[in-house]
Amino acid sequence: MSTDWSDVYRQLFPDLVRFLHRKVWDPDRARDLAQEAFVRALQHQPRRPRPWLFQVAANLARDEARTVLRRKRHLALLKSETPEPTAPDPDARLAERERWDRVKEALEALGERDRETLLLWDAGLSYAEIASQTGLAVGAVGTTLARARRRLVEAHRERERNDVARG
Amino acid sequence: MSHVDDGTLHAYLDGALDSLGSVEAARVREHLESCEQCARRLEEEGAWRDQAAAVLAGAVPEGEDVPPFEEIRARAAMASSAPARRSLRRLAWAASVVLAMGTGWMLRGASTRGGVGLRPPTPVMLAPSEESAGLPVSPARNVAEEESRVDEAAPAARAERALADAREARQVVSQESKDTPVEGGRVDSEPADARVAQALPEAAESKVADSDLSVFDAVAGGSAGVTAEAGPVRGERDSSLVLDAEAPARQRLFLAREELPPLGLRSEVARRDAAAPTSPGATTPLGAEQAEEDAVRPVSLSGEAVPLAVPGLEVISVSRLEGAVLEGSVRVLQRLEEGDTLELIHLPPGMNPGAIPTVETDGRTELVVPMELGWLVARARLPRGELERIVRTLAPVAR
Repeated sequence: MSTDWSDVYRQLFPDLVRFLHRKVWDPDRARDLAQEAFVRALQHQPRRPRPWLFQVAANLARDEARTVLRRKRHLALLKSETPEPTAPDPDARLAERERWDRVKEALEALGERDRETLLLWDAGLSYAEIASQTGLAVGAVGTTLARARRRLVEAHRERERNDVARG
Repeated sequence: MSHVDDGTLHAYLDGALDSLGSVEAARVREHLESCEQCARRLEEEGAWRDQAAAVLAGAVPEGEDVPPFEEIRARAAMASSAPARRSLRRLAWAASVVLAMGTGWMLRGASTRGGVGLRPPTPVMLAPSEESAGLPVSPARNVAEEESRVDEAAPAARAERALADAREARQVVSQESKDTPVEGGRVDSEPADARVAQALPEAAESKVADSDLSVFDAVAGGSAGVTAEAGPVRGERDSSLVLDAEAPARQRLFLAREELPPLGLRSEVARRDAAAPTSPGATTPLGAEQAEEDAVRPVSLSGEAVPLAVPGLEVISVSRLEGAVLEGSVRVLQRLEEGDTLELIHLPPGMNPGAIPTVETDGRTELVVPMELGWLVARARLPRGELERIVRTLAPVAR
């Protein structure tokens, strides 16, 4: 059965961008990487596009993280790890930035596998697809998600409390 | 009956209860209807789930506009046409060699006649000879220079040619191997091997451009049907290579070449063909000679995939990697023409390629390729483009 790539693209592109954004924390870069993942998919024509695309996207994000790390070593001018948010006015940008930072820190409080599982679920992958990508047993995906969700919320609350305390 | 655990409650909330099996799903549904305690916990876990979703929703980028699909299609088409352009460059290179040899021959003739008095150029040193003669640099020479910069591509080109010939030979071979008995994922088909080995030297340039981009899909799809034996690699030379997550990267993954004595490993075409007759389009590994009978044993990644190697390059070793983070991974080391090595690490599905330390500081190029059955990490001191090209020629290796 041939894949309708146009349809796959329309359906999965926003999910892929969201997934990538929470890994690279740069909306433009996330869109670039999502496009790159689709370019590769069109070249390779995988039989199961969705898990394949997310696997490639995760790999691209990992490479991106390495590049950022390398850049950071060499460029003292790179002051902030998180790029500027996209909101138009300065107040909204500041608020968006703070929100991103809170989420980012909360996600970083999770173990790598918990974080990956949670992001894959949020991007729309099924338990079976998550299991295939993370190496978890299907029966363990729910347990991992339960732990990851709880930890994410707790870490996020803690960060909010700290922000309030700092004024 | 026992209460429902948190993970199962989340599977229920996520609508994924059926992934646990229909019997278990029915048991859980029935229990949740009758157990107040579990129903209360379900509410609590539902609250955690909703709050986590709300937290994640705080990090959604604004303006999720989707670029036109045609843009993506055009980029993919451009990327796919790159090998064709490379073939044209190769033709230009061949033309430049012929042209330059002709020029050299003519100059040689002139010098013997005492007309110009130039030192006759040798075919392999054409460019310096032209320069020393003060001749203008021809466009053809520019192409030659460009090609000479990617001289490292020699193994890749050799592998491509071998691959093209292997495809042709395989059509003949597979007919023979179909009649060959399979025993534990192992088949004897020496005549077939010999036929393919014969085809090796007759590399056909015109078939290089034919190398197909979906080789991974073809190989991965085909290898699913291989009844290869799992289990330790026999005759493993570098079994001491144990990956330790705490050790420095280079010590972990790179042994000095001297520490890896050649195994003289040969791969077999028809063995794999006969073991996996349902592998359409699968590429074929080549060996120059018939392998020793007791050395022939396919290596599998947890029984799901056969390690890949570049046809035409000597396989130095095939070894299993150990350690919690890389269990089940297989490492194939091949000798490049320059005396350097090509390292191929095959990770089974579910493994994280990130567990393998980066090699960005030791001058090697690293390529991480997603496969339908796991991952492939390729490393060599080659330009990225050449490594990509060489990786496209991979074919399953058996021993």
